[in-house]
Amino acid sequence: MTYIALFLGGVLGGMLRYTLGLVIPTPDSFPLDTLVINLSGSLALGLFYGFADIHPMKPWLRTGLSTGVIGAFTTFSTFCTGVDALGSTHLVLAAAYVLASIVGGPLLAFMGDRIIFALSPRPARTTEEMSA
Amino acid sequence: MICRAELFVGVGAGVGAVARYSVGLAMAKVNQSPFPWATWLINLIGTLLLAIFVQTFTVHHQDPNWWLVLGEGFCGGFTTFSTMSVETIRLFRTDWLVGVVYIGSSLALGLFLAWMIQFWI
Repeated sequence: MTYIALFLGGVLGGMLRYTLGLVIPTPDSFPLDTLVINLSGSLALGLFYGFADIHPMKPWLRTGLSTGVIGAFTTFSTFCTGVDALGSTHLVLAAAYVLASIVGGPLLAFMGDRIIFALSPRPARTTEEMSA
Repeated sequence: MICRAELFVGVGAGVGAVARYSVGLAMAKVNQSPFPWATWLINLIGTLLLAIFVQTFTVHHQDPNWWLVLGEGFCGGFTTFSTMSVETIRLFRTDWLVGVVYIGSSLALGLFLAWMIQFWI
């Protein structure tokens, strides 16, 4: 079951990545499509793991959505070849692309987790804490 | 309507996701350290393969269908940026230096592999 969910999730994530790549413009050959995909996917995975920790779900569903859909949606290999291609003509843009990706990705994954934490209901505070 | 190109990419990415999960399971048996060796290895192998496919299917030969299945599909689905982001944050919470080494070495080696293949093939 896990492998079926993984495969179908991967199909979905890959098709979504490819379709977005056709839609998102790449001004001055800047790979804006891959940047948007990797940043939004990092945020999505942070949100998803934060959500899944609070709301337990079937393991095949959890793996299919995280490792399958979001994992296949984002890509490291296209990021690397994209930097290489951009760097041969626009070195400063390539550096900006690298920085935005490797700082933005983890930051958004962290924010995703924090957003879920902030939104999740916590046990009501006791009167002691309220008066403190 | 789903186009043929989308299906090619989708099937490649589906196989890539299954392969990534399988490598992760196999690595979990040998890797006892908190360092995410599985994703590290997957991303570098996938980048090496993608750089080879770029040269083979788009530079030396024009083979758009194989490029969609193996390049956009398999390599894109096999490698992952989101898991790397999440793992980096996890490492930062325990030992930020290991987090820097993880994402820094992934980046440096990935870029080196993507760059050097053009001289090799």
